[in-house]
Amino acid sequence: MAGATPSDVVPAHVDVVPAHVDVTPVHLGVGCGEVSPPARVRAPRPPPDAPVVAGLGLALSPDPGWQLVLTGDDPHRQRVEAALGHTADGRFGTRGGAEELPGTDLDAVRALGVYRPGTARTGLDATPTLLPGPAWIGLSLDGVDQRHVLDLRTGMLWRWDGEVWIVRFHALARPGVAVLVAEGPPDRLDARAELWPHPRHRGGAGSVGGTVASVTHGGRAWIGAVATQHTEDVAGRRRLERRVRFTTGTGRVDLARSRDEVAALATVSTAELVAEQRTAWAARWARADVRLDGDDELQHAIRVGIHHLVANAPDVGEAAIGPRGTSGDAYRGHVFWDADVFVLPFLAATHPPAARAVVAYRDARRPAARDAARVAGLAGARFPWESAADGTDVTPTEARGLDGAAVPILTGQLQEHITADVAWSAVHLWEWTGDAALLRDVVRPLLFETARYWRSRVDRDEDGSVHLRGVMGPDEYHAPVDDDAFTNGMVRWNLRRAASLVRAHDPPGLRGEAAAWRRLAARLEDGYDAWSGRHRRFAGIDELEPLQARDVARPPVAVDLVLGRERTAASQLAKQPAVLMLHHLLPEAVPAGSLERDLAHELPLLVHGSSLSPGIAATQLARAGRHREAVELLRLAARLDLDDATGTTAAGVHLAAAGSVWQALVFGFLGAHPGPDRWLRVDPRLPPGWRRLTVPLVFRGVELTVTAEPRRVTVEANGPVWLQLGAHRVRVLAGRTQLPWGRATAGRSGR
Amino acid sequence: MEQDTTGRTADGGPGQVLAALEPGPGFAPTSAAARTMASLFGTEVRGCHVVRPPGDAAAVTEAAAMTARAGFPVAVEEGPVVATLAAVSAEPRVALGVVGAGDRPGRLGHVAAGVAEATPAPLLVVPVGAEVGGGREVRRALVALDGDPRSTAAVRDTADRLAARGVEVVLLHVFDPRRPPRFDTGGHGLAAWREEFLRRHGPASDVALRSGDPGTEVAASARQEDADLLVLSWEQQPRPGHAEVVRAALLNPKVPVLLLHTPGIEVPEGRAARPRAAS
Repeated sequence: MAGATPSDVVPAHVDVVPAHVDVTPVHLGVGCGEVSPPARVRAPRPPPDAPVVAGLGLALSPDPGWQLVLTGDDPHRQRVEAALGHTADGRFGTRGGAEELPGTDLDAVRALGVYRPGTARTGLDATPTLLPGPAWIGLSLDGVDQRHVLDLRTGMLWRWDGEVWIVRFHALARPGVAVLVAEGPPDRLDARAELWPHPRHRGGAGSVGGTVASVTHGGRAWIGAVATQHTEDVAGRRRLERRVRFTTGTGRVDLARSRDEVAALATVSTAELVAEQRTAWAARWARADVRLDGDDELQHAIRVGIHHLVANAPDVGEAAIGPRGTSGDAYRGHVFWDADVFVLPFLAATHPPAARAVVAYRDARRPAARDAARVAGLAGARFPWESAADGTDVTPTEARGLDGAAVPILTGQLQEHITADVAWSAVHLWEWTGDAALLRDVVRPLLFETARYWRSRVDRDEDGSVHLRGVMGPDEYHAPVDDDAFTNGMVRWNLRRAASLVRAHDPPGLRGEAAAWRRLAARLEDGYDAWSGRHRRFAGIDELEPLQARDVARPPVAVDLVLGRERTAASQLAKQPAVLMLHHLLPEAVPAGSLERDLAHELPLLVHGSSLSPGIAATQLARAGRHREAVELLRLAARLDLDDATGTTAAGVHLAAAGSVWQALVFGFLGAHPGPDRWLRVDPRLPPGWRRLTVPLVFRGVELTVTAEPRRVTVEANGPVWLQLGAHRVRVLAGRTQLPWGRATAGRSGR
Repeated sequence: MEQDTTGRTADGGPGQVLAALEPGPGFAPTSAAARTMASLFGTEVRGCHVVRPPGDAAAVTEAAAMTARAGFPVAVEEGPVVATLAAVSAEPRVALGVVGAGDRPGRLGHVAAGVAEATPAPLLVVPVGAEVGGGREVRRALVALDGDPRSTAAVRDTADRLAARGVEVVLLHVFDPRRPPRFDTGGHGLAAWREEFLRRHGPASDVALRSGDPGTEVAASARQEDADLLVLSWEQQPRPGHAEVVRAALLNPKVPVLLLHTPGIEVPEGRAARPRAAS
């Protein structure tokens, strides 16, 4: 854009809009709720080739494996495609709706971790939800094909027909900066800028001196946008270039810095911004692109999920990653264990700074967790099941049930395993990175405080046994339950791991606590039955109706809607793999041989009533060598959003499911897992038909790519790596190393 | 004829509500429901009384009496009852047909069944115990949808127009165990699903959800939801294995059922067409 002659600069600018002042929106171009002239309807025709704009370095990735085509021809999938076509820079994101429908949910902008207060006294609406930001993609177009293509390789969303093309993206290299470039005949591409406050929110907009600004408010929080737009008509063609700088804050609105940044951007050409974008995404893909030879369709679905994982995770500051990121407002953008347990492992192994931001979000809310424990009359820190801006528990206490009546939500009260999950995520990141500062500043205090919580929380019986009663595990069909195997397993791990971090030079009080934690862990009921060789999901489950999933319907099925809540709760059916989750997160902590027995017992009971379920089950099936079932569930999880299998992708893509797919590939099929030492375990289990599985990773600062083939494992690393391949330990040096692989070298089943 | 119950026909002229009337217990509720619908949509209403033997002089007298009772003109037609009513209701000016379900509660008469199967017009089937029109207006309409876009297309205009006339439109969806739902059913998950269903199949003020046999649940829901009108789409094929929901709904003793035809083929919007705003 630098150097261009602005033939139509929008003279707009708002300097400061006080948050407490209601501002009448300034009408800019086509305003809120105003409908653009009807599009010219054209007969469907094959789309022409995507344009190549050499001067800007714009070219759509030609490989269909890197394209996500959003046809725009099914009204019922319109919001689904808006979620799938979402583009983001980790911090800010915009849904992939049509440019001529501004101000709707289809083009909604959201900022990670920026919430507006709830609007009701009870129910879901009583809790905070993500604040929509100023819409920015609006254009007045005439009859342009609705088809969009998301270029997965570059994070750019393309739209074109024979005459008009539009490309837009959030700049991964410059979080907060968004770019839209469009070109076409002047009669089909109106040059008016369209940037205004979201119609649902109090805000303001205005224009002064070459920029246009807009703000949306929600309580004290606000999202501001400052934009510039240049249009140029040359030889019967109009080119429009728009740049937006998003920012967020609380209290008084101040967009001066954003205005300065936009002004500074004038020295950067659009071609340079495009090049930056390509480079930034290429760098992320270099460490994230899991390549699967032998199943192109699955490969594509995996890439779509990884794209959204990258796009929805910032790598500086704090990352409050909700279940749908910025791609939609389902779950109100609250932070669940999805972020800690499902998304973080991908980030830890591919881009540690982003995982660090997830941990930073939790760590900064440790005081709130401490308060929560204190209010409950307990010690240490208790993290909330649902968290938003300040780290207090924002889990709704009731919601509408099937029949519309209010039903109590017990997750906030009972799903306490989140506290151990948060601890696990910090340790997991440390195991991938070996970051001493992280261990000192975050992991140790976090583990100690969570261990203190558990010590004060458990029940000690007269016989010396220790129990955790009245909780809800991942199997949300049953609650409250006593001695949930997953929860107790995580608690025991939390206690032991905290104790292991206490050093001889630590104060005596802490050393005494560590001893108590160890004693407690040893006596905590873990649900494992040595006679049967498997875990009991929770106390008393064997007395419930031994109904199996196949007795109701072929999973996945929301069985509680079919049987009713009471009947479901009276059965042994499981919503998601609770016991298997223990194997998944703590493979070193479960008894040898128990995976196969737990799979044999739990899988028939598993209905996959959660989108988190299939990927985790696939992981454990892969470890057990049950390839056909593993791949089937992996495919289900990978295509969850593409097929809108839950019916709610419209409200955002399922990031945790995407994370579970990556975990199934890496932890499950490749068998890669960081141990508590400096060894990276690799123990591939390739299904028949998979010729090669290639996984790039970052382990303890070393970038490496592990390629598993039926008879060998190849490691390419830029530094030395301590590798445990199956049962054998080797130190792999920088460069390319081939290692034989097969039955002789494989380790035991399970990790 | 287009599926338009607003009182306007395909050619844009003013439409009519046509009530098929017979003397008997169904006369009062059917004529009252016809009046109510005509009033709701601001159109005229007329009645039709079919007599089989031609030249029945008594029928003329009977029609005059019916006119007096109904409060709108009732004409006499001659011929086989079902075929004649189907033919009359096929006239372009007829926007909505109204027929009594039968003389006994809980049983569907052969005339209502025959007309429902044969008429090209939207048809309101009025049970003998219906309260609508008997001092009760249409305040709340329950629109049953299975999630198939064709069903939604069949009812959308009518639902829009009911809403435009102040009727509270509530969608009803029954989760069929034979095609079980696959989604997170906690508070957030169900809320997201509910919202998306409303966006796809609305506009409506709410969506009522049930689980179980669709026919049973739809029929029961009409009363549970305090609906004055139940709106259903169907393919007009009451053969075994089809139209179970319609069959069950028409047996309910209280709530009139508005039957709209499902388009045989869904015509997707052209790619270049302006998409429908989702909010």
